[in-house]
Amino acid sequence: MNPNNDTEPYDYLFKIVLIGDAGVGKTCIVQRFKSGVWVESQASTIGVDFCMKSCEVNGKKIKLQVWDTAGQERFRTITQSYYRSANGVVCAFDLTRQSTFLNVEKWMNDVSKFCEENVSKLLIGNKCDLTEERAVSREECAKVGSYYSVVDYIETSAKDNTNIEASFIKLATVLLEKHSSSNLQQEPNTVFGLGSRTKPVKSTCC
Amino acid sequence: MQSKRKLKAAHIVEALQSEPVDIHSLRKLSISPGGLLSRKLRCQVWPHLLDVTDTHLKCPKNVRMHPECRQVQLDVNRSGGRFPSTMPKEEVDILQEQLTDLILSVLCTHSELNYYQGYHDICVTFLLVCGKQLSFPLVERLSTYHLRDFMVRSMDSTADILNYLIPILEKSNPELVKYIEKSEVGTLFALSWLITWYSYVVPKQEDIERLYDFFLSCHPLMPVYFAAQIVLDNADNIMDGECEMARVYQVLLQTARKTDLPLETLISKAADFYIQFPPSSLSVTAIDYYKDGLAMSTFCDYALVAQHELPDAVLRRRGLYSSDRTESSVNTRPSNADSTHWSAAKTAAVAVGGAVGAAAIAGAVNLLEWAPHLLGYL
Ligand SMILES: Nc1nc2c(ncn2[C@@H]2O[C@H](COP(=O)(O)OP(=O)(O)OP(=O)(O)O)[C@@H](O)[C@H]2O)c(=O)[nH]1
Ligand SMILES: [Mg+2]
Repeated sequence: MNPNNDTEPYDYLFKIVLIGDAGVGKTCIVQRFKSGVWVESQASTIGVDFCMKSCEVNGKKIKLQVWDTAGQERFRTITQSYYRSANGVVCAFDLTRQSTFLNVEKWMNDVSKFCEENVSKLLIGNKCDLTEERAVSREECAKVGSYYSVVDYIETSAKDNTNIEASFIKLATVLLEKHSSSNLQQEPNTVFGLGSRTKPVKSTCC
Repeated sequence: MQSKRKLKAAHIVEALQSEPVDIHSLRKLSISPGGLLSRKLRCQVWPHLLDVTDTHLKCPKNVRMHPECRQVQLDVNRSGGRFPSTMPKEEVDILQEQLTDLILSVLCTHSELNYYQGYHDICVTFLLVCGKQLSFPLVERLSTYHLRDFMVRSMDSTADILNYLIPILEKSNPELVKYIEKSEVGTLFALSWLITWYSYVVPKQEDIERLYDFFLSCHPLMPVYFAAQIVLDNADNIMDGECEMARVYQVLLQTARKTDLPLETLISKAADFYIQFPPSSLSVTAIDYYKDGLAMSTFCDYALVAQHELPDAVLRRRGLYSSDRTESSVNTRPSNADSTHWSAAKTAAVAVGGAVGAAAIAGAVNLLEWAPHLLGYL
């Protein structure tokens, strides 16, 4: 299978949950990040999909576990159970649909309810390639971002491959800084569980 | 092989043409290897499996005014991958328009039903097999019975249904259950399997259709029994590696997506399991569930009204389900082609729990009288 997966050694493992309204482009973002491809007729996500991707930050090998959730309102109670052990959250909205931007509030409320307090949040305005159809201003978005103390607000396009990798690297960098300063000692590789309160995993290999 | 198919097709036609339609045979034939064989036969048999007599149900008007229209379109627009890659784009466009109307027509007819992402995937299957005219009454019926629990406002009951998975697995592989519980992976990996009737994950359209033959003939919980068989079939793979949530989740997610899914074996095993461990035998949660007044219990109510008793209760009274006997039979009984055939008969008998309509239920008494002979080898 994918050489990125499973067996490759890494220094840190972070769990990232991707949330936001249906159709904002979460799965396209993940596909772009993971395989570098653009899939026009990407199927709607049912439940929660999952992928792994490795990247390098400051000479450290970082493995990211990305949990891609379904955006429809009625899946919320189900996807919330994936928040608990997240180290990072990416909340995405569609720059061309104001309703998805207004719903950021709901998503962020869920985050504060169900994630660990120190979770790192990133706000993403996707589909920035559709400049003509843009429905919210950059200032507004940035303001909402800082209101929720996100590490950054970034505008992306999965279609044009704008800022996709940069977004994940940004989040990984923040997570790395946070956890390498707080974990002065080497931690053993702890088991990662949906239900357990987990620390970011520091690998013992290499 | 070809002649076997021909023979089966002839049986299906015969059952269709008998007066009244031989619903028991149709159920059996839908469950047994190969299912209903072709789209042409499916169009004829599926209405009977769903007890739809009025195939010319009139669609409601102005369906695009429905508040869920936007969400439906979002999903329909992304359903392109479900249509044959050889189909011209214009044709896909037309079908997608029909898909939107089909979904919204059901939603407009039943304000109590809530749309969910994945529902559209089930509708695609019907549209491809039956066309827009016939799909409406069929999907309408399916939604108010088999899918009803997925369409209530909250997803909690769906999550409850998924939890049947664990006691089913437990019956056959307690070690696997321990492993899965230790990994804390939960049962949500099977959510998309259940609520799309596998059309979200099974790669081949013909396999999906074959599965629908099976599910349409059975109790609404059958998709969960089927999920259990997929998981059991991959037990080695699942337990081979670190007992860690993400890894286990990923392995589990992939199991249903395999292109070489041993479909017929899994179907016959799921049917066997259903006979041996009917929903009412499964757990306290299962019993609680019956009280909830949702689809599962409606199905049982049907059977109860018709014959004052659940079919599996009848069988159990006859000593066929005493747990010690069934336990040992799981391990010892081979699942060869012969037993597949007989299982189909039995499952159809017990499927009355999931059958809609008086005709099916009235005849079931006969089947139950007859079933004990078949069950002799248990
Ligand atoms: N123009 C443009 N379209 C995009 C972009 N990203 C996604 N889309 C389109 O937006 C639609 C939705 O994308 P998905 O990735 O399926 O959305 P999602 O957020 O995963 O939605 P759910 O799975 O339903 O929660 C698709 O039809 C994509 O083609 C983008 O950057 N630019
Ligand atoms: Mg998605």
